[in-house]
Amino acid sequence: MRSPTGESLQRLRIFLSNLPASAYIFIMFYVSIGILIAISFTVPRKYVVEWSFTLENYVRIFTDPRFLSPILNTFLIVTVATILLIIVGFPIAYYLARVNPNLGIKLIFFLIIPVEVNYLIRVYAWRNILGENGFLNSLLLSLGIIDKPLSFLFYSWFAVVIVLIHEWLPYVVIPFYVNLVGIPRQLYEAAMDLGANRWQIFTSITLPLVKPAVLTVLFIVFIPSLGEFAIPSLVGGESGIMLGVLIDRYLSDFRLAFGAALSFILLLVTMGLSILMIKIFGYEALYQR
Amino acid sequence: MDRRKFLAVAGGGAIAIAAGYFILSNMGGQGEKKTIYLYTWEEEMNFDPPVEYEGKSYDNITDLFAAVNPEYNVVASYYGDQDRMVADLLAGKKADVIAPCVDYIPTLVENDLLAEIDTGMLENWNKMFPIFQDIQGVKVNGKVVFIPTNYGYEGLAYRADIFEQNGLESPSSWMDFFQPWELGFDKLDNPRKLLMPDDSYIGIAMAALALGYNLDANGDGLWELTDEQLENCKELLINQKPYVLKYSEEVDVEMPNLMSVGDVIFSIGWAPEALSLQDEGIDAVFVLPDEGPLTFLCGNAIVANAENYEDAHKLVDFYLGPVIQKYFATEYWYGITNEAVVNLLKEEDPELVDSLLLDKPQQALAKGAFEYPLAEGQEELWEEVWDEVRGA
Repeated sequence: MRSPTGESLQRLRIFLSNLPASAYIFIMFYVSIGILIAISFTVPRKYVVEWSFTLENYVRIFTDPRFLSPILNTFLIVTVATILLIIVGFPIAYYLARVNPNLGIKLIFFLIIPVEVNYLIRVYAWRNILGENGFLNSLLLSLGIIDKPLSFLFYSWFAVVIVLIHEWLPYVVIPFYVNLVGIPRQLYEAAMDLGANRWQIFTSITLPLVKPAVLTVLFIVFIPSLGEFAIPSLVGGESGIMLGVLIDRYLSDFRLAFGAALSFILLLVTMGLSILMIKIFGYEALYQR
Repeated sequence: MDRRKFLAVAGGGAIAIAAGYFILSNMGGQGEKKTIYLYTWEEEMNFDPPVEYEGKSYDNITDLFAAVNPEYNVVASYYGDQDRMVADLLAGKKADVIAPCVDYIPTLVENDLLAEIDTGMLENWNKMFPIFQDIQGVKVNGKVVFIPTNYGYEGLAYRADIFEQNGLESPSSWMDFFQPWELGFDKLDNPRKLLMPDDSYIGIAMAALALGYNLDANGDGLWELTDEQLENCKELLINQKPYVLKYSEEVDVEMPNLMSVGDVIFSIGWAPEALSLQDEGIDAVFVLPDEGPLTFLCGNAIVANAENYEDAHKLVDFYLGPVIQKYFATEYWYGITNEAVVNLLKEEDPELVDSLLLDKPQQALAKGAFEYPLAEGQEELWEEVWDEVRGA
């Protein structure tokens, strides 16, 4: 049994060893967020921050109906993209988890390769694929499937959803894969022995056990996507404007206080959603495989 | 190798690298070259096509300036828009020379960012057209703070081949840009083919010109619109929206890209961009609108508290000198401010001088609406209108 002094020393050692990392996180994340929040309550001025308190920025956001559309658009686009990502990503992960483990890992490697390519290059590539005279329209025209280019493919919310799916697919497949390979085969065998059909096995065993993966996907895909600005800026056009684009517009224009207020609102929303998800799925889901 | 030896070797290596770095950086500091820090537009830092000087090609200002002035070294960085430049300077960015346009001079002065320029140190000052020595923005309270070096037009660019294929009328005015349905755009399967700048200053000015407003009605060298005029501009801009594919913060970059693939066929434009598209075999045409183009005037200034204040004059003078001035006129089709260089060009390329009215700057400037700064209180109003247009 350790003496109280030994325990205190041990605690002190742990505290000191964690101090640099904790200080780094505190300064880089929380202090900077604190500054952003403080700026959001200052009088709007271009280029500089005038440290006088006001609620003007928030009053404007909540009373001006023009900001409602990008906010709703953001939720619509991200929700649709996340649902489609799960619909597309889950079967891929299911297949990968069921094939020979060596082959599964190799296929995952191929899934990850595109992510290694520069983000902007990938988005620009989509401009050439989805454009009115791009690859997809040219292909459909040459096959006689359409007789005029589909304009909704490019500079639209549809384009944003497509590119978001491409961007985030590996981050959806991998959590599902990790979860699915962790389900013991004996569970399935036992269910079959007891007469369960495939659908019953899927709904009673697989789905409940992949719940942690759904939470992971929501945390690493849905929430970060809410702040996305590069994809909607490059392929979104007027119908694909998201909150991140608005924030970028105000910050690029050096209307810092207003941009900070919009950023803080986005932060509050994502925090609220995170808490809601944890309430629904439970904290332990984050740590389950 | 045991742990002790490894640490000794690693420590020795680190000391050797640090000592080498210290010696090399000190050697650089004690060398004869003087350093000037330039903060400028990308196209004034990197030349495309390269500048020819004494039989050699130079694709950036650093190498070119060093070739002409071997005792100097230029450290250059660039910005994409002037808001970025102002914000960076306010944040303490190290710069001796910047390249503002005249509309940003009041902002720079208001924030105490400009130093007085000693024109006695500029060899080319007395070779300038007198009109540019006294034009709005050059002097503040009698002190020279800005040296204009080039001017040009912002007009319209369109894909002539696609217009013809679809039976669209050729555009000739700003109003055509705001009412593309009059040109037949509604016949297109997808009429969203316009590219607009995401810029309240330029966007509203274009609409004001289309509506026939005089932006400098008071004649005080400041742009100002009444509430009613702004309201009408807003209406015109909102009516145009269904035809706009994108509002871009970088039109000069996006216009050539989107126009080359045909996703955009009608845009605000500049002669150099249209020329470079033509070089690639794309039938892009640049038009000066009937109501008159927007006319920009850009140049150089020395930053307040510049570390290399005296040397900075050398670089400002270089932009005003024959190498760069000639390049601006022949490659970018810009108007230039050095009369002596225009006289040289008259002999070498009289057609260019005539077509660009290089020798008649007063006439050339009168062709368009000079991009003056906004009058006090106007910026907030224009931004408010622009926000409403974007949110509509």
